[in-house]
Amino acid sequence: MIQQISDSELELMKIIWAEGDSALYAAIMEQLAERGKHWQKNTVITLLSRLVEKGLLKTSKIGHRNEYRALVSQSDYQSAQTQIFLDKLYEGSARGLVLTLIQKEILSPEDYEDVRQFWEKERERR
Amino acid sequence: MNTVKTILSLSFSGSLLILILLLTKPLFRHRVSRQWQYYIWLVAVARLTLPVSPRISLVGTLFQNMEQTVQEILFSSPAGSLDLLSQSGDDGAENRTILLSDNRFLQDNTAQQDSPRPQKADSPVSVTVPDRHNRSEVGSVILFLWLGTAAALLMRKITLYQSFVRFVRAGKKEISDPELLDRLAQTEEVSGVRQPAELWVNPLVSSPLLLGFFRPCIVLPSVHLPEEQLEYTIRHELTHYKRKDMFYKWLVQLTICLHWFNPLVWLMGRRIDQDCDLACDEAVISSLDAKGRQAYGDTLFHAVKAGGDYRNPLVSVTLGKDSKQLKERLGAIMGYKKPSRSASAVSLIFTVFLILGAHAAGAYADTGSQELTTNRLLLLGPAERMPKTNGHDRSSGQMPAGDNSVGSVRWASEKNSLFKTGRLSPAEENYEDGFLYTRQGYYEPPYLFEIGWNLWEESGNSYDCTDLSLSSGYHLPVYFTETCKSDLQDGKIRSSLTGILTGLWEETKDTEYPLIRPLVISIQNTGSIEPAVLAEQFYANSSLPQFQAVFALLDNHDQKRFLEKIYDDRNISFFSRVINKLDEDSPLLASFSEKSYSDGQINFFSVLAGRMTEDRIKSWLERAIKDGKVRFQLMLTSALSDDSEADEPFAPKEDAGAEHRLDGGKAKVKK
Repeated sequence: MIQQISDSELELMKIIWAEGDSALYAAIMEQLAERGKHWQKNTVITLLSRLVEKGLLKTSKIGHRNEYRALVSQSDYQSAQTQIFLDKLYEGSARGLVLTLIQKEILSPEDYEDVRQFWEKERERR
Repeated sequence: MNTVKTILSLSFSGSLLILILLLTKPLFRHRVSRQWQYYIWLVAVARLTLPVSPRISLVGTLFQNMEQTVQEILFSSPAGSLDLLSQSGDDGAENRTILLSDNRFLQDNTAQQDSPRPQKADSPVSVTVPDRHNRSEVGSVILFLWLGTAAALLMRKITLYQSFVRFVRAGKKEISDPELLDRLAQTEEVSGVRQPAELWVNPLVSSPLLLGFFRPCIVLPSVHLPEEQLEYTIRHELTHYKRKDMFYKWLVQLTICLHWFNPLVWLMGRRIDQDCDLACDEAVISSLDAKGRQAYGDTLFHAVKAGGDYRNPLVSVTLGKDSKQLKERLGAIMGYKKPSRSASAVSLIFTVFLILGAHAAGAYADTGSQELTTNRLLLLGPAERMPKTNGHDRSSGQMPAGDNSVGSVRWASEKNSLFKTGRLSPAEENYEDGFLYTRQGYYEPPYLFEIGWNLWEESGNSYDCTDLSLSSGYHLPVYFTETCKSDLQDGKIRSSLTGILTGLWEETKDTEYPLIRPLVISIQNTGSIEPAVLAEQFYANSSLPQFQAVFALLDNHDQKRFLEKIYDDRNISFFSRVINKLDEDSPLLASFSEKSYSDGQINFFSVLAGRMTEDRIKSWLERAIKDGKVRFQLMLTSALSDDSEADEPFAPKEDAGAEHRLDGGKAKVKK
């Protein structure tokens, strides 16, 4: 069960996922700056070590430098979080969510068609 | 027992220091830096935990005197003293006990009597006084109790700490707001802290606190503080981390555990906690202006109000423990002044004095064992037999195998037991079990020799050997230790040594224990130093063989003076050696007999009784009967019956130089 992480920690995870599931500390700092987040060095270190403690990252040394490797892929994380979300709000049923998406027009008809076809294919496969 | 005494003396010394500090600090509370006031306690902590002391110190002598008084009480207590005497044997006459390396001793069981026996003339005996069985038992019990309580207390503190930390961690929420974390990072930089600290919130803690020895974790009851206050809070905690206050606090806790019986130490602990925060405050506000200081004070004030109830005073370093101390702290903040030069100088001087005082106060040092180590070996008359026990082996240990250090001699036994049971038949040639060697000092100014003989054959292999030809023409192989090697090249020394050995050889050649396999243990050139001065020195160093050698050369007045000193110091081993070297008709024998009799010092008296004639003993016995001194009666009676052992098959020979044997058995002389 993956522990909940804060927004800022999620930010860092996204950066690492974008870098191919592993990144050097320096690269992370660079990416943060590019995304407009000018966090202090110690802040980033603290957040990264929290992620390590929670089992989402693994840290290793390459020479002098620290490398952070994601232990959970982005899709795995998304699905896990989705499940939590569903459990919390929709009693675990995806149907309710989809209904909301459609009703609130969060899901456009084109996207809905897309999803439907995707789903048909999946069902045939199994 | 000695450890217990050391601990008590450390506690006592430390208490003196604590009292001094507690009484004097309030006087200059506002004038001296708070940091100094916090760290000066380390002197007291060191005094309480480090068993270092100059040889002669205030508390050391105090405790040594106490020990002597206790010893005297034990010695002269009528009830049970017989028991003690017969068990232990730490009186001069009971020199038939042999000191094993592990401080146990063996008792002569072949003697029918249970009371100490007097010495026969002229046996070179030195006796060491091992701790009494009883005393060491009591001591062990006390030691165990003390240690057990200390350990239990420490365990409890540790478990309390651990559960506190667990609780705080369980209920914590990490602060993930990058803004706050950034501010933390900036404060870290300002405070000079390199390791990034964690920042958590747990509404249940009573005040902001710092957790962790190596990885600092700051826990706040709430984040909803004005920016400035948050900053000061964090600074305070980071300062605690920087100064490693956690380690200091735990050191103090350990000291408290060790001295759990001393309320002053507990008091000191509380005071140190307070001084800790005060010193931390001072460190933070030293870089602030007046306004900043006021804001800092506000922070403290509000922090005490906020927060939950969960706290553990000894565990974490907090912003403020309770409101009581708040007043003192606020006062200190508002009254803060930059420390003046004179104040620093004064505190430095005071520190130096305190350290010197702590050193001088000292603690109880184990001096008794010095004698033991110099006379670690078997100290009996020349080549005494080992006592035999009828039945069981008293000792389960062996002497350590001979090594090259002076004085360690290999015991003869092949099996693991040191004795043979039963009596030796006259035909038995194997007298190897239990040969001991004597060790004495011989002084021919300016050379002072320490010589032993009857060295065990195997040990001979670990020493170098030289041949000396005695004046009678007989060639004697003489062993010597490393240290004597170079000296023996000197012709004068060799001739001195030859002279001494010749004399010894003459003396002992017709006895049961002739001079064979002598070992020269040490050679000293005393130059032109007066014997009296040498005697003083050797006495102070507990160098018994050397002292004994020099004593013979003293004039009557000095001999009397030294004897009195030895007697007053209750130094039984020196006493018996010296007494046995006095002339038969020395008036000192009589005067000390009187003295020890009236002082009830039975062990000293029995040494003297060894030099008395039968008639003298008889008259003392009558006197003891008249005075109702039972122990003396018993001792004297046994002394008499020793003399009348002539009818026994294993009677001692009455030649000059023959020694009173342990088992009264004949020994073969191997030529």
